[in-house]
Amino acid sequence: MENSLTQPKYLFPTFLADKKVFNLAEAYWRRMITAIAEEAGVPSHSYINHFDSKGRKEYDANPIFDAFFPSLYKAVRIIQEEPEAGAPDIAAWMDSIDLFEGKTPVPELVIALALSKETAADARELARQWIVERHSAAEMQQLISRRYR
Amino acid sequence: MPPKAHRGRFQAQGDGLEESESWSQDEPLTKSNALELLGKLKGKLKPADVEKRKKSFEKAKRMIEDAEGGIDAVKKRSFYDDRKRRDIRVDVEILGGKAFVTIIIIIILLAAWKIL
Repeated sequence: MENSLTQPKYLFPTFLADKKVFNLAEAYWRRMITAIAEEAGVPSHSYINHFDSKGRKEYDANPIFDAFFPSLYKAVRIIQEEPEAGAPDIAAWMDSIDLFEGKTPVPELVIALALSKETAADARELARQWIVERHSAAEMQQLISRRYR
Repeated sequence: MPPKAHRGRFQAQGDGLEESESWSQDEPLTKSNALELLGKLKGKLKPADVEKRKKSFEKAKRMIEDAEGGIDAVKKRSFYDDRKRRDIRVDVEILGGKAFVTIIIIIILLAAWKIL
């Protein structure tokens, strides 16, 4: 019988070594962020190019998933990493990206994490606060500071 | 002024620091010019701030050097030395067009553009 000790903590642990696992992890993020966009009732699309100049998909997970929400003028970028002893499994920060020349940079919520059920729940909550609850970048920065520092 | 086709930015930030070097030009940024810009950004920082981002600068350098045939926008990667301090980092942003090409690629692109 499985218990908390026998269940592996991290999800998709071989995502950097196995492209199929990487694709599953990517799909996991797509489902999560799409569900959040649907809850908010806003469309979203990717803004990062995940392919190299020869059209080959990149599997470095920096970022593994990204979404731009045009009607909110906000973005989310997810960086997935392998777990590292002694380092926190999740960090987040507010950044911006100059997607449209001559226009205001798009505020970006960036989440970097080793994916587990716990960090996934944290990431979901952060993305919800940003997209569904429509907190400002300053409010998100405060929330992140309270939670992760 | 008309917008430039090829643009991007290297940025060092965190721990009270925010410095960047940008490009915005008609031709794709070459690898050598990119390395020069990255070096310029490093030069703006105090030695202690460079030391804190030593691996991040190395990773950014590797991203430039390893780009085969350049990298097309939009691309953004965040590099940090220590996962305990992910705020201390170097970001590479390719925001428009193409970057990190060799001179040969530029010549090919220009030739193709003239033929068309």
